[in-house]
Amino acid sequence: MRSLTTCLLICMITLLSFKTDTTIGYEVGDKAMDFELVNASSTINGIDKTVSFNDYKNAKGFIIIFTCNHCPFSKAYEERIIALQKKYEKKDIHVIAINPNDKERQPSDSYDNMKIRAKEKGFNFAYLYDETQDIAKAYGARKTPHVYLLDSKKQVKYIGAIDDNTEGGNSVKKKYVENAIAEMLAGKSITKPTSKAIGCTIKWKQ
Amino acid sequence: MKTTLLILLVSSISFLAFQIDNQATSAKKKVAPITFSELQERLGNTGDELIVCNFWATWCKPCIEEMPYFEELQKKYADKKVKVLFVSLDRPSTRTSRVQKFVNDKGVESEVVLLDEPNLSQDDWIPLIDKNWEGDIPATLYVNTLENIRVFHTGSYESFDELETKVKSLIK
Repeated sequence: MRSLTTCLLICMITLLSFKTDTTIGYEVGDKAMDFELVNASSTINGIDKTVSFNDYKNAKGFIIIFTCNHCPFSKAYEERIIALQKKYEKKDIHVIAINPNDKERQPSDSYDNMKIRAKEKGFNFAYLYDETQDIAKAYGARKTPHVYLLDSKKQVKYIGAIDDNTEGGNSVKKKYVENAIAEMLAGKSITKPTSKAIGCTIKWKQ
Repeated sequence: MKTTLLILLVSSISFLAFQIDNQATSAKKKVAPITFSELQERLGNTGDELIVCNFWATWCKPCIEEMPYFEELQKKYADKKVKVLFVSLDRPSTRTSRVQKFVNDKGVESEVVLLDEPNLSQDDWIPLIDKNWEGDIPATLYVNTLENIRVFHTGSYESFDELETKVKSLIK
């Protein structure tokens, strides 16, 4: 009887340890949840209006980018994010940028500052405020920038960096997101579904 | 005779002043560039020492905020075979203008290196530090190759106690 109890206990502990090892957030292949977040840019429904997937009729995909105002890595990619929207909106694939940072910990990432940045830089994409940080948590975003490419069914096809070099320009050798989009549109499987890059840790509420 | 003595005096003072200045400068830690394979070398051969390898950047606010805890750790555990290594991920072109300036201004005493790796992309080397690391900083790697210890931590430490508790659990 005692050895059975010990056995059961060991089994339970083993199972629990597996559970904690599970990655929190989306993995490639998962279906992404919808959201309704307020927009700091003048796109879609306009400033201060909410945006969700339904606002994009017949979208063939989404380039979800967790990003913010202050992080130098986010700033380094701003032009490239604008370029992605410009290039792919014709193909009904849209960039949706989401700022997940807590403004108490990072005042420069407040909603008001998002509006200023969006206007200054002429963001041509929705720049949404994830105030509760629930969306960032659901996705499993860890830093800015952090990209999730979704197909028309909101299935995650790619997670990671936009390309392989923060510097941009001629330093870029591999355009991860663009390559993934090309394969996605061609109905092929994604040869490089994930990538890693240095970024600023998300400022979680304390 | 008087002129010779004067020249000798001036020379001695200049020489002495130069020596003092030299000593003052060498007391400031120099930020050396390091390639990824050089870093791997160090992390792969720690001897009987725990290397506390902290990835940071001058532009990373939470990284700066936790640096004093690592400095305190180095001071307190220097004779307990714990070595703090700050690895800056600032742009290599800013090693002098930003990183060295930061180290000088703050008087950082632990060793600081800057990762200057032209041949590997971040996507190549990040998984080699830790396969679960997404690239968010600050991040800290604890390695002791002799004791087979390799532990990775992402996010910042909120207090010295938190950092010390972690280190204590890894050293005998």
